[in-house]
Amino acid sequence: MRGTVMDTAAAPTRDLPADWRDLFALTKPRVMSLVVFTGLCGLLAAPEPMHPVLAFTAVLCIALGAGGAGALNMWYEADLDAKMRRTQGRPLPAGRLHPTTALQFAVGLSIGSVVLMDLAANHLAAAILAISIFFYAVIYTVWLKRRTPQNIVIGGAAGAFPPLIGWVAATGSIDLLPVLLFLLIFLWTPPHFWALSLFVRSDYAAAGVPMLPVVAGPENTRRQIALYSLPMAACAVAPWLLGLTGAVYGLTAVLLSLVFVGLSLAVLANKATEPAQMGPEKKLFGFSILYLFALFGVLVVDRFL
Amino acid sequence: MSRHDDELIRARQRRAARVTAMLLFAFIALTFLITIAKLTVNR
Repeated sequence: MRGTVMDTAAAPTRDLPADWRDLFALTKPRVMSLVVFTGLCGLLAAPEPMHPVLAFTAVLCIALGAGGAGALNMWYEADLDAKMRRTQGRPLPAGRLHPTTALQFAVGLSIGSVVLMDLAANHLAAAILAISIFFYAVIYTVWLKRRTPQNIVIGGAAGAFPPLIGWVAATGSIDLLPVLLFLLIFLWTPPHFWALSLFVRSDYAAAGVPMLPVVAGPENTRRQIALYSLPMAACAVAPWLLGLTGAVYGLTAVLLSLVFVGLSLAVLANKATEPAQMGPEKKLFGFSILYLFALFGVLVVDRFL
Repeated sequence: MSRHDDELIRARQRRAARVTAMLLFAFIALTFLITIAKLTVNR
């Protein structure tokens, strides 16, 4: 169960108004950058061009929605964050922000983003945005994260919605390509997060989060990483094989996916249990971010060639 | 509460008021632009 922020964090100064930098940190800007980028790419890859003002607003709504969901996550997990070295400095566990302020900010951003998306794009895009916020804030954060080592597998769907939202904002309908892009991110999330959780395993164990390396051990996790990377690679190449994209995207996807699978196999071969010896895991984690940025970037380039 | 605390609170309040004003202005401008864009698209 969720502990109160006051249980574990430094007590915030109630009279001191929130600093905007702390509110901004609450939106998880680094995570948001990938979400915004994939959402923008989904929008640009759509066959129907969107009015620039409406396109800007749609991407802004994706960013605000992701920020709202991230803030809801940080509000709910403040007690966990206080126990992990990686997250101790966040505004809530550090006591720089009052939980009520954080909650009001998170709910405001979430509702505002959906309303604005409905105004600028269409009902379907707004509905999918609302589902993605709900998925991250409730299904993943509240329901799954503290209960099952499969948290990241099911919860990964939340981060897979942005390209679909971008596409639907532009076209008003769901097609095969954005569904494949959704599946790509959905299958990319477990290897990406498990690579990270392998070398910060002690942090998750200390906080009592049942991440796969904590519950099933490093060897099992490495096997799962390798297993997930195969269908993920297939999803990355599928748009080209199905004739939905050109050769520029196809060949880039083949090349990058081969590197991804190669790095996953290197992780599988590694037997280290100490973070200092987890070079392959750190390499895979770093490359996985580059992989997604590059694939979506090339998808847009390919669309305009 | 010391004078330093009081000054810090007032400075934060001023900054918060300024940021809120800017955000409200941006929201109004954006709503106006969305309306114009929708009219253009639907024409």
